[in-house]
Amino acid sequence: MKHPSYTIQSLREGYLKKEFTPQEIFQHYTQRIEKENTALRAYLSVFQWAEQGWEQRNMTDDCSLFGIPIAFKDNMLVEHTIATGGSHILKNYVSAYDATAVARLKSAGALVMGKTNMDEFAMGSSTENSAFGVTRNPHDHHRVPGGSSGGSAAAVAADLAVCALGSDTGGSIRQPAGFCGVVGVKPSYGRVSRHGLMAMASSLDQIGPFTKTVKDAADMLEILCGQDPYDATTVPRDVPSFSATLDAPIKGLRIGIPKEYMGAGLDAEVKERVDRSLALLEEAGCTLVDVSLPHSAYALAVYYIVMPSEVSSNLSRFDGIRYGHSARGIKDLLEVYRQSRAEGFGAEPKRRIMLGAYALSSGYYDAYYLKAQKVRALIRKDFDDAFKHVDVIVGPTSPTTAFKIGEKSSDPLSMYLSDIYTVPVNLAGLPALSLPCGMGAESHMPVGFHIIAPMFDEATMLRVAHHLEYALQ
Amino acid sequence: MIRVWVWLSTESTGPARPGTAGASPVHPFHFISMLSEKEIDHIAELARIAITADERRRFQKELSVILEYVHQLDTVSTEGVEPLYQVTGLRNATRPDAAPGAPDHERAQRIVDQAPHTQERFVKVPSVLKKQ
Repeated sequence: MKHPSYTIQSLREGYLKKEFTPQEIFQHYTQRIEKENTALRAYLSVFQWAEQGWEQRNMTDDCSLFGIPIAFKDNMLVEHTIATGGSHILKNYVSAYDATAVARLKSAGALVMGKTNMDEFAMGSSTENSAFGVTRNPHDHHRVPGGSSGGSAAAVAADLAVCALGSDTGGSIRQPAGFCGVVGVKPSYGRVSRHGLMAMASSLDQIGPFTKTVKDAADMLEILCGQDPYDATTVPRDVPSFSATLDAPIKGLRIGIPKEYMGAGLDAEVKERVDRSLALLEEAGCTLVDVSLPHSAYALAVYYIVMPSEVSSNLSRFDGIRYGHSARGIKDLLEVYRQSRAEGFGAEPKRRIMLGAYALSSGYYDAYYLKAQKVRALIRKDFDDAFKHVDVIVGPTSPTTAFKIGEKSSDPLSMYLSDIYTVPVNLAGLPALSLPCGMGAESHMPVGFHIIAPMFDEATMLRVAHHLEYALQ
Repeated sequence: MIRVWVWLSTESTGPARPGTAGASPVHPFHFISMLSEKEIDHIAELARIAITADERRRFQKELSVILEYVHQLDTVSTEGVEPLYQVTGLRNATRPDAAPGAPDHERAQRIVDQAPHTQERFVKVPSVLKKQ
């Protein structure tokens, strides 16, 4: 068998022509993982063919991911397998059920290759906060893959999976997709069920795909999106056929460029690639429109109140009683909590839990949490106002390309700033995508182009991305 | 809180802070409000995390720096603005109050088995009420 970098599309064609079988493709990827993963550390665990339960499957219409190898971020549950969330506190935790997103992909015929590395409980922008070692960027092993879904991004970029799932709370799909040069999508809040996803910040978390092409992302989203009785925040809306409208013309679309995303702090090599993509969109007949998101400067400050507050609440479930690590030889209940959490959590979760506990504590709630949620409303209103004039909003996914391992790990605030363009989108709940738009002239690392759409308008976002992807080739 | 000078070592290497666009690089020394050690102990108690003396010192600086950063929100006028707690507009998602099917005892046992201390189908917990 040859060794091309497969996509959902190319595998589908190969299966139709009977060029290979799902078992052969699974073995092909298993061998690639064995060869590459020691250096990359994209996967934390790898599954066997026997675990796929695949004896009776056929390629049918309702099996649109027939034989497609997929990797899951390790904060999603796959029944009977370990889900660590990148944390020591869950290093032996065995999932009792499938996450809805996992179940949907499995029933569409996907092959589960394994679970990918991540920042502990999805808290980080580099995957350096994993309790199980650092994932490396496939383009340069001295650099980070981004985070928190760094393992999923690296696995797809290095062709150790055809596609992968990640979760995005403040940019954790789009930023690593940009750093690794793959497509990464955060759907609208409410589109994809989070049942079986370890909750980080529940008003922001959303599951989405990493793929090699926009078409593949559209195919994945058609399966992932839709209401789920197990997640009450999923919306009762029809899921359009995203792939059917990809080729519709983009001539005449109005593309908004926020001046706040193109100014100070943006690296010249990133700006150069983004400007090139803007020129291509203009050539394709789109109209470029300057827009303003005046409150986006405050998004990170809002995020670092809202997110830790929700983290402190969600992570209170790790008590050393019901599951996960429990401190030994302690008789007092309060001490079981205090010691189990002290031993089980790494520095970043501790920092965020404490920050959240403080922001929500008596006497500080109005000054921090309530104030932040009011500014959040203003951030959402900025987007609403801008979308009265434009169809999508675009810019860079991150201000820089992938930074060096260790470069920012000693300074939390400087690490947080790498999510400066992605965070406002989560606060507003909007869908957004990162598309690879070339390599930076200086770092020779991938640059991500960020496309943001109005609530639930994934179709237009994907269509613009699909046309730009073609124009960039 | 007291106000002190702290050293923000890698400040100048990161991207510019939002809200300071175009400003000269931030001076590596910064005048900020510092949480006291007593406040850190109180927060750790609320968070149910035992911390070491080393961690107390580290969190004191790190949390203070982040709080200083988020205080830029004080400059935003939010008079008459309703807080945005959620973005979909969904209200009261309910379901019929009925059992979805026969209980799955095997799965239930697997969930119980995740607990560090169990006895049959029960989770063991240290005593909550103390003997006098």
